[in-house]
Amino acid sequence: MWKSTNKKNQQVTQSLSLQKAMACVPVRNLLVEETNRTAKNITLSFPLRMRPWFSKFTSAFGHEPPVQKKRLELDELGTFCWSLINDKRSVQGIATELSKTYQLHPEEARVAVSQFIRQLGKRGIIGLKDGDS
Amino acid sequence: MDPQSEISGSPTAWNGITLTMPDNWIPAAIEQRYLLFSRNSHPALEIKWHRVSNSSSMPKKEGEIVRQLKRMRGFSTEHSAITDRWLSITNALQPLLNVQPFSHAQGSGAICTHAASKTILVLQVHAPVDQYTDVIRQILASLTVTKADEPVTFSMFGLRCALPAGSTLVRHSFKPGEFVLELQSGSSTICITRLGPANVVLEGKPFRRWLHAKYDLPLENFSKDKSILPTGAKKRYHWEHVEAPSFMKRLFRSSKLGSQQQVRGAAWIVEGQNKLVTVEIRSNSPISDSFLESICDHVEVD
Repeated sequence: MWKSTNKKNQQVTQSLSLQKAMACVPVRNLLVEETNRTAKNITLSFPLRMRPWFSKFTSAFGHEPPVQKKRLELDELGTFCWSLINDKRSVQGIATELSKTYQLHPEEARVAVSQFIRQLGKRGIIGLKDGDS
Repeated sequence: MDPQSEISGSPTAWNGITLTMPDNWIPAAIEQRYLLFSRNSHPALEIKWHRVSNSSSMPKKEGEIVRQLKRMRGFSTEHSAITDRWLSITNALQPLLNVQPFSHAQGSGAICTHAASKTILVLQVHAPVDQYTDVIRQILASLTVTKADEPVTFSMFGLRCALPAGSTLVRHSFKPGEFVLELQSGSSTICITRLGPANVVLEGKPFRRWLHAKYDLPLENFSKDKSILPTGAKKRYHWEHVEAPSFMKRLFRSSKLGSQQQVRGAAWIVEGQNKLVTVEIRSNSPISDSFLESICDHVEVD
């Protein structure tokens, strides 16, 4: 399920089947920087999404909204999944690779990758594009 | 995919029932005595079961279940309301179970009673019966119910174990990377944990040091055991200690709550599967070697 706000104060919910969701391709946000990269861990630095009311508030006083950055440290599995995000591989493809490499149950890998992708999406680190396009 | 090509599958066992499910029928909801399998993210098969303490309570429980089911729109046990196909499928269950098929607006189902284990099962099929006749027939034909004097088996997401007869499931959790089953067997509480991937869980620490950090016990408490090794393990550590009751529990000194707890555990890594397994038993009375061994012997992962 995903939600989009196309009208003010009105949420439209569209259902997305599991297969369609798993076929989506994650795309990295170009503003995300990789820092402190080691063989097993990585830290992502990404711009903090400003609340629209706060941006308007600062603009009203003639100031550009301040650019704030946040950091996210990924563990070994997170780093592995992040390295697989290449604008081509689908969510299912990442789950399959994770399952094979770390000998996880396919369902376990699917849930883990879905949660990881959702968390990155919430923070604006990645976007998702339709897998068929 | 051709529905008929889904027949082969893997055995699923959960708290007293066993059945073979096609690989793409995934357990979507797991509760103590309830399983919901989904296919392509749509509910396909639902099983709920109840155990009663004595046989005389079975008709009463069955009556309660029927009363609950009657709230469903279009519920009927009339012969004319049930399709011939569904009737023929449920007939496959007859030697093992006493079956009362029913239909409702959303699908078909059956109330099944297993006298030997004093169990009443409610099956509901949400997948289109006409399309999946052979698959559903095969699933239901594979259904078995554990009798009260038989070991309780579990086989879910690659974690398999058999526990002493009469064990009851207390807690379970299937989070990515951590599967937990906690059961009560007599006065003992058995906790089986499967962690994975083992190399990530250990974070580069030696296994013994990881156990020391996890269980917060002195390093000397963990001793290596090479004599009896579970399948796929190269070494196994075991530990035992006595846990003093907390201050609050000491207030109940006269009851079992306030007494000391014996704790015994074993942990090993299944090398080929990159999984870490721990078994911990807690009891108010001493825990024998053979009891711990019998539990460990029946835990497998893949």
